[in-house]
Amino acid sequence: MWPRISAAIVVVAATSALMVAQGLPNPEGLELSGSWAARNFTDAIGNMPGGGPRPVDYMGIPLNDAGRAWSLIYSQSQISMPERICDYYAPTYIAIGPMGLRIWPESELLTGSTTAWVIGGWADFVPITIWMDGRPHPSKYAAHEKSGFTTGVWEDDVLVTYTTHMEAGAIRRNGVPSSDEATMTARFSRHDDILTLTARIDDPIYLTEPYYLTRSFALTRAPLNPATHPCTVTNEGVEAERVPHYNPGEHPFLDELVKLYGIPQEAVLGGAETALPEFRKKIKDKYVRPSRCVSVPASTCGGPGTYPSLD
Amino acid sequence: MRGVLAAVVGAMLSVSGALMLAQGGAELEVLQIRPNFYMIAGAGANIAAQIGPNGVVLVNAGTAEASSQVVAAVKKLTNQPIRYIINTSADADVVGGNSALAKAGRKITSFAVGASRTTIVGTDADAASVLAHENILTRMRMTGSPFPSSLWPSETFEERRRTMYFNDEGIEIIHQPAAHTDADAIVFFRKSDVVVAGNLIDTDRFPVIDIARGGSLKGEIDALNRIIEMAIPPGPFVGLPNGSSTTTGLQGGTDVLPGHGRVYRQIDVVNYRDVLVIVGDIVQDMINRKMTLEQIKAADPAKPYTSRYGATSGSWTTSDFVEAVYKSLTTSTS
Repeated sequence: MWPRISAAIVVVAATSALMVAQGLPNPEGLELSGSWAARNFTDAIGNMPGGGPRPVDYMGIPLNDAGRAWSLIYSQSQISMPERICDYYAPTYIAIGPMGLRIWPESELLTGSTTAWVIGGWADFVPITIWMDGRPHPSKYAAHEKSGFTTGVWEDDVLVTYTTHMEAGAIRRNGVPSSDEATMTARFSRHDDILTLTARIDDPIYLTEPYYLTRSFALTRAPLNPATHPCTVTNEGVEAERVPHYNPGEHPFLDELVKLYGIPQEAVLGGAETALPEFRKKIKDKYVRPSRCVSVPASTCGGPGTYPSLD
Repeated sequence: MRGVLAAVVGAMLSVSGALMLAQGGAELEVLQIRPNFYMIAGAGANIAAQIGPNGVVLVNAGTAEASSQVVAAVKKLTNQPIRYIINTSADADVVGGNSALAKAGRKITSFAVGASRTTIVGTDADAASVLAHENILTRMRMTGSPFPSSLWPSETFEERRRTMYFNDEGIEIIHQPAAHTDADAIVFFRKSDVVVAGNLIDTDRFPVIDIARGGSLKGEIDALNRIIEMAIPPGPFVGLPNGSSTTTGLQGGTDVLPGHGRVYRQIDVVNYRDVLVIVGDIVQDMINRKMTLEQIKAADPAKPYTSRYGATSGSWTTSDFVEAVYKSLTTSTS
């Protein structure tokens, strides 16, 4: 039995090596190993460290009524609840967070084939293991984990991954929710030293249609530390068992973007149509370009002449 | 490195390695939680099964209709007899299988004997013990109760906390007064690090706060806080790629088995608790503004959570939940 298996392994490995050597498509896809520094543009702009998104800025997110209602009672003080201080972000954070990625393969001992790709963790983000060996996703009764459960396949040179069993989390850093029934389909495309991530988030609980995000990363020689550190709960001012939130209609930042930038509230509160160019025409007559920026600090105004124009 | 990965793979496979059992009736799914611990889903309320050299401890018995399937499922897991059935409430989907499962088991009728004290004396005529808080028996014995005496617990306790040591593990049974009902219990398997919450948690519905049977919003929140205190979240390993200490995720953490739905972690219980606290605060604010129950229902105070836990039909609707919250708050304030 063993010689036959060994022979098969040798044939598979040799075939793969020959195909790569001759420039033919590798059945195992592309090499993704390395440290990938975040290039924070495209959809990452609103999530950058520092300013980040405004508390009530849901533009472009296909929220349903429940998702909008959830967002409008959410207080960011919740992250200071003792039960949440050491909580980690859900896998959707690779699409909305500011961090880079460190990626490495796990290989099968005999054939050298890749059984999994691992995306390393961050201080507040758990590593994601992308299983490439065809294993099924867990039962609907299984616990959901902070890393979710992810499988992957190569479609030509694009690694396509599918994540289920995620904990509830956020799809924007101001707390717009993703539920524990959300799934994420991600496509990792490598073009030389640039890695592009396109994530599609489906959430039957809070979204009316899929939400797409893209991020880019550049291969770097400086290694990123993928460690997820132990965490200690300290007092951040929210006593145990209290849940900071706003009652409906009482969010203090409800009309912040309206006052700062003159953007109609129907745009601020999101919804599928707010992601489409046609929506700009719909609100064109409601948009009042402010005479001056009143944002504090002034650096968040974006500089002279940068008010949005719908023309 | 590969050893660690293999361990992780093995653990994930064992957790996801569900055993499907379909024998005419409902389809059961048996989920391995720990090497010696399982959750049987699909037989009414979820059933926990701790298995060891002394026999099987079940927490909850499911419905009467599914009991033969549950017995078959347990027999597939072990040839050890069922020794105890612990009830967490007096609901039909929790106690309905008491009689059939007890008859399939054997009671421990004597102390351990022999030089090594490992022999347990029982007889084939015995049935497993059904252990529950006294309030469960009280509810099941009430006039008009749908439960015949054959389903009643054979052993009850009145104290807040009953403990036992079985299968080399400490087990705590903690009574939670005035939560889902006045007869709820949380069962904590200390070595397995598993908490059985019973019908305090339904992962797909708002919790059933049965005011008529002594339930209350505050008691339900207290019970969930109790579980949060008992549970520990998974923790990280620090490591680097290709190093011997690397891991690919979090390790450990308490599993919380709900009455219905998927296995919870501590943070899931926090999320579920927060729903109650926030909806309670919103309804309280509306009460303070002199809104009537009908006005409050019309204002949809549970709106942020209805797509996840709500229902417009069935035995426990969003309207029922809001009404229970309202009654809890107005009763306690009056």
